[in-house]
Parts: sequence; structure tokens; C-alpha cells
Amino acid sequence: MAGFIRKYPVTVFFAVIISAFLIGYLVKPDTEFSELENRYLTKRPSVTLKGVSDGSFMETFETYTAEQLPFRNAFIRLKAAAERVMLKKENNGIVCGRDGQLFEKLLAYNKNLQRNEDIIASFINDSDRRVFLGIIPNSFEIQKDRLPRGLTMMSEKEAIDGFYERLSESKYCKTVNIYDELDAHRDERIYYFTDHHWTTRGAYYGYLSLCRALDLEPVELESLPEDAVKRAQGFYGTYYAKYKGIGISPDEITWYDTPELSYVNQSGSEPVYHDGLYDINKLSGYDKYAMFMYGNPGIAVAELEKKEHGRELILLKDSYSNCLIPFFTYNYDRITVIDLRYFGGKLSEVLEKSGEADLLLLYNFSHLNEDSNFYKLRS
Amino acid sequence: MVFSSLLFLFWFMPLFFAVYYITPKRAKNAVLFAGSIVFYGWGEPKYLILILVSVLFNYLAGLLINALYGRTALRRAVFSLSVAFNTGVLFFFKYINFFIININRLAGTSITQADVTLPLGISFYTFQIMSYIIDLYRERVAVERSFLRLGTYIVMFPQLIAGPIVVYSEVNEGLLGRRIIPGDAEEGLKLFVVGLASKVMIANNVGRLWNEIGEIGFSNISTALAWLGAIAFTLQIYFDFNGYSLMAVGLGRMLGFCFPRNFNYPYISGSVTEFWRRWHITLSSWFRDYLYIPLGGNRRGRLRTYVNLFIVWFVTGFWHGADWNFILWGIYFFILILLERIFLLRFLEKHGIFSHVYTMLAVIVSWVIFAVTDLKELGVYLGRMFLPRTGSDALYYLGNYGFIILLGCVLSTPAAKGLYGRVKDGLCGTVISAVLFFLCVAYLADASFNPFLYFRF
Repeated sequence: MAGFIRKYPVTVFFAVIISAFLIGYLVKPDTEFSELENRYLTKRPSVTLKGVSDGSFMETFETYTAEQLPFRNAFIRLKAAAERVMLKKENNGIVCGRDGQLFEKLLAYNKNLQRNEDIIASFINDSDRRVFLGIIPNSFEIQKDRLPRGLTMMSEKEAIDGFYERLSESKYCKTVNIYDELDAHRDERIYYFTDHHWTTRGAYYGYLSLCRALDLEPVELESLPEDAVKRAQGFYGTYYAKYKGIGISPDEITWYDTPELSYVNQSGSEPVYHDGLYDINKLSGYDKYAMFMYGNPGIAVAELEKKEHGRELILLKDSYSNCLIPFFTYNYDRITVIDLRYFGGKLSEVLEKSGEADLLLLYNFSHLNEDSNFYKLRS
Repeated sequence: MVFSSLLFLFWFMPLFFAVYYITPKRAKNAVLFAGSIVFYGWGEPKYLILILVSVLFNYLAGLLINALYGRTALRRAVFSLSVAFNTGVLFFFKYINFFIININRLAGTSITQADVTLPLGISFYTFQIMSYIIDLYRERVAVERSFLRLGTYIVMFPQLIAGPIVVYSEVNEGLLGRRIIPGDAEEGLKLFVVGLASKVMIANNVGRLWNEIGEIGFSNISTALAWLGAIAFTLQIYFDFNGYSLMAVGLGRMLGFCFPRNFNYPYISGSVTEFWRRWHITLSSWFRDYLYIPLGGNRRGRLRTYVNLFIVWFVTGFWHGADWNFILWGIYFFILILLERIFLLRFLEKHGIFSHVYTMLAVIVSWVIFAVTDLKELGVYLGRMFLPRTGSDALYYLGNYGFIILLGCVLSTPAAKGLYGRVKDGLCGTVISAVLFFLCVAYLADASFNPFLYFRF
């Protein structure tokens, strides 16, 4: 036996390794959720006649083989390390810029962009009330100077300006320039280094731009009591989940107290009542950003205990708004928050019920570029 | 199924080879046949029937051609019919829509396109089957009386989907009975790992650069980036294709077969003529033996030789894909090879450095023609390459891909092979194989980019 190993070492190595992995697949219980990648993994499919004949079994089985690979996390880290050794500045479409800040690599428009713009434009044109629209650029657009040299991505500013220009004819539409305010503060930490969202500070600058357009008196952060700001450390976001490289420091999450309010998730058949806008439990998990607004309910309502502003807001949004909404609680008595991705109701009914409310559509450019749920605006 | 997948490495390989090695000799063909059916049917169950019908048809045609020995006219008719059948199937599945589209465009008709997708590996296995029928007709091989043996030859998984094109006369003895010795498995595995690493570590890596240039849009890139992209694709197609061939040859050896070598350092060639003696050797030999020489080769005068060359290169181009750019690609090579034949070769032989620069330039441009299917886009890309346009975009990509491109360039020459050859049998070789293998697994585990380039072939 020893002689065989000495004579045919590669054969022995392979026979042992590939059999060990096969056994690993067979005996290892499937992993449900990957903390490292922040997503659910595919489990072993069961053989069905239908699945085999239409090929779906084979397809799922291949995904399962990739996602349930024994020692998968170690291999993923090995790949990230190998990319570094090869002097790559990116991994899985995430670019590492100055100071280890991670950016999304977006080279071209998605084909959904035009369609989404069309749907929004026709929604606004058909509307019988004022509609405010804000598109939030990504970090790579505002903080270009922090990208590796020579990397040119698509221009979000051009796209946003073009879209706004197109809507300028519409009498009910008021577009909000968020770009300039963010650009003026581009040297501050307005975006997370490891996540695709803006930070609470970035959101505050977005809030200032919106206040000007909506004619609101913005709350001044200095006027809040000193203990109104809270902080949590150790946040690794979605960019990091894809990049997985070494030498990336975690982000800090901050949030501000709000006035006394009730927050109700109305997406399900039974309303779910929350204590405030922040889900502190989420801070102990991987996806800490999910603490804001308890994630992305389809429809939820925040209502002040003490009504003092006489104004109401309906906000159609993506997750970028989650850390901005708390600032609006200083301006509105009642805020209805709708995330079209998870919204199953009729938008027209919601709008009818609150005829006097300000109506704001606030979306991150990537969301506008990629999402395929805007058709629900017609519901 | 493809070799460069975790599914193949950790499910198919251990299960198949365990069964194959413990099966007694006389049943090995049956195991190989069954295993190959699973391999092929995994991704393309509906085209299993097509390949099996093809095997059956040619099996019967072979028996008939053999039985009709002495009855020349009838024998020729059966032979012609089977050649027509094989090319007809290939034509239908691969080229029918190309012709419909172009007829519609030219004649203004609106014939509906056929609802077919290209069956995996059809261009490879059709050529393999035809080598059997043609050689049988020319009495160069004996008839295959076992359906299982002929079927095993055609569906054998190593070379089924991406070559090399193994002609029947090269493996018929192996099909009858082959010795499987541990030393072959050992060498085969080493080749397999080198091929796997070529594909996963180098081809997929540089290939991403080519893809990103597509995303940026050809009209937006600088001249420097255009060249960087063309070089990236040049390396991608070599390491991908050669990688697949090496894996196939390696797997073949593990099965007890000896498959021909498909690539011989094509990028060190000193002329385009030499390049085609080193690139996809089994395809060029196939066209030489089954098309060029039957057409008369170079024995019927100068003009006829040129016509024959044109036919061969036109068909070679068209074989690579049903689109105009592939035809253009073939004709491009026809022109270069013709020029070299008439006078250029004599000049190149005397100018060593120039000949290599010229060859690589010609080859890099050819890959651009090959890679860009849309002729308008092709024009834009060539314009970017040859009409100077400044920009800093190449800087980022050079930083990102410079290392892997350099590595690819070095590994395209025999230098690294010499080094590896010296250590591959020792402990060092085992460690290299193991490290490469784990790296490949790591890249496959986290792969968002693992293209299969031969879906058009």
C-alpha cells in the first residue's frame, strides 16, 4: 500500500479527496443560511419524475452542489485571497477603493431602467395630485475620487438628470435634487464602506434636500439632546458579503431617537405593532441595517402620539429610506411607508384614503435600474 | 455537464470511476456508455434521442456499406446517403435559422424560424461519426459490428462536447480491449488538473475582462483598452479550449484510451500557416483528411489548389458558428494563408522576430473577428483598435488583470511546461496538483462567471 502511494501519489490524493467530498455531501446536513454571504442556500432537491424530465432537478442539484460544498466558506475565503494575490482590486463585482471602501461596479444601464422610468412617468402624469420624486445616487457616483484609478462607471448623474428633464414638463411633478447636497459632503462618511446603503448621516443630507423641496423645517441634529444619538459597531454589509476580502474594517451604525410614536406593519392579515422604528434585536445578527424600520414591510404606518404638524406623508421607497424616515417624524404626524416589492394591496386605495398627504417617491438609482416591481404603481 | 463544475468533480468523477474501475474488462464499455449517457443527458435530456438515433443510423449504414462490398453503385449510394444524413442533421440543428434569417433579409420573405437550439457537442460528434463512415467506405477501417462499441465511441464523455475530434481509427483498438494501468491514471489525472486550472484559473479570469468591455460598450473604450481586451480574449480562448482538450485527454487516459493532442503552443508560431498546424490540430487534420485531400488537395494545379483552400477555410469558419463573422474569420485565414503560400512564408522564415510579431497581430485580430458576432459592432471594435483614442480606462484593467495576462502569456510558451516537466513526478508535482485542484474548487465554489464557449460550435 505504501509503495502504491509513493508510486501514484496524485491518484491516491484524488481518490481520497473526491470520495471524501462526496461522502461529505451525503452525510453533512444542509446549511440553511450563510452568514458570510448573508443569504439562504439551496438544499438538496428530491428526485421527482417531473423534475428530471423538465430538467429542473438537474438545475437545482447543480446549485445545491455549489452552495452546500463542504468547507464552502473556507473555499470562498481562499478565492478572495487568491484574487488579492493576483493583484485584483475587486471580487464578485465589488470594487475595493481608497481606505478599503467597497463600491458596486456598475458599467451599464440595466434594461429595466427605461421601463421603470416609463412606468413612473406615466404614474405621475396620470396622477391628480402633486408627486415628489427623489433619486438617490450610489456611493460610486458621489465618491468617484475614492475609486481605483482609471475605473469609469456609468454616470448615474447623467441618467438621473435625463429622467428629471423628461419629467420637467409634467405639471404635477416636483423632482428633488439629492445629488448636490450629497456631493457637497462627499468627504464625509455619507455611505457605508461595506454596505450599499447611505449612512444615517448621508440620509440626513438627503433629508435636507427633501425638506427644501417639500417646504419643511428640517430638524437640526444639534438641537436634539445629546443622548438622542445611538451607535453600534461591527457592521459588515452587503458589499462585504460579496467581496469577502481581507483587510476591510467594519462600519458603525448610528440612529437618532424619534418623538413618541406608534409603528404598525399592515402588510399581513393582522396588523403587527412595534415599539418604535428600530429593531434593536437585529444588531446582534449579520444584517444590522435591517434594524431600521423593521426591514421592508409592504405597507406600514408610523403615527405620532402627539400630533402637532398637521401634515401627512405617503412614501414609496426602497431600503435606502429606512434610515431617513426617522427624521421625517419631526415633520409629519403620520407617515405611510410602502415598499412595492412586498406590497400586495391596492395603491390607489391607499392614495384615496389620504387625499391631502404629501406623496413622495424616493428610490436609490440601483433600485430604479434593476427592480421589477414598479408595475404595482398601477394597482 | 461540463468538467469545470463541482458537480463533475465531486459527484460524477468519484461515482463513475469507482464503478468503472471495479467493473470487469468486458463490461467496461457498457459502463462507459451508460456513464456518458448520464453525463450528456444531465443538461440536454431532449437531445439524447438525437445522438442515439445518429449512432443507430450510422451503425446500420456501416453494416450495409460492409455488406455491399463489390456492388459499387449501391454501396456508393448508401455511403452518400449517410453522409447526407449526418451533414443534414448538423445543417438543420446548427444552420437552418441562419439561412432562414438571411433568405428573409434578402428576398423580403417572412419564413418563420425553426424552434431549435443547438444540441451540445453536435459539431464534434458529427465529425467523429463521419470519420467512421468515410474510412469504412474507403476501406481503411473494418466494420464495427457491435452497437455498444460504436455507441461508446460516439458518446464517450471526455471528448463529446468540446473535442478533441478523435477519429474512429485512433480508438477502435482501444474499444475492443484496453489495458488500464495505474501509471496511466496517474498521468491522466495530472493532465486533467492542469487542464482544469487552465480553464478555471486563467481562462475564466481573463475572460471576465473581455465581458466587461462588452458591458462598457465598444464605442466607449480607449485604444489601449481595446487591445487589452483583444489580448484577454486571445488568452481566454486558448486556455479555455486547450484546458478542455487537456482535461479530455487526461480523462481519456484514465479510461485507458490514448487521445491525440489538440494544441501545441500555437502562440509561438512564426506564421499563420504554422499557427494552424498547432491550433485545434484534430480539427485541421479532419478537414485535411476528409475534405481537402478528397477535393484533390494540391495535386490538381495551382488554381484548383487555391479553390480547395478557399473551400476548406470557408467551411472551417462556418463550422465554428452559424454567423457571418465566422465566415469572415475563415476567409480572413484563407487570405493570410494564401499570401503566405505565394510569397510571405519565404520572407517570414528569414525574419525571426518580425514573423512572430506579425503572427500574433494576425491572430489577435482574428480573435476579435471571431468574438464579435455583430458585424457593426465588429467594425466599431476594430476602429477602436486601429484609430487611436485616448482614455485612462485601461489603467484600472491593466492593474486588475495585468498579473493574470502576464501569467497567461508565459504559460502559452513551452517554458513553463519545461519547468513543470522537471518536477511533476516528484513530491513537488503532487503538491502542485493538489494546490491547483483546491484553488479550482475555490473558484468554482464562488463562481459568478464560468462560461461555456463552445455552445456555438
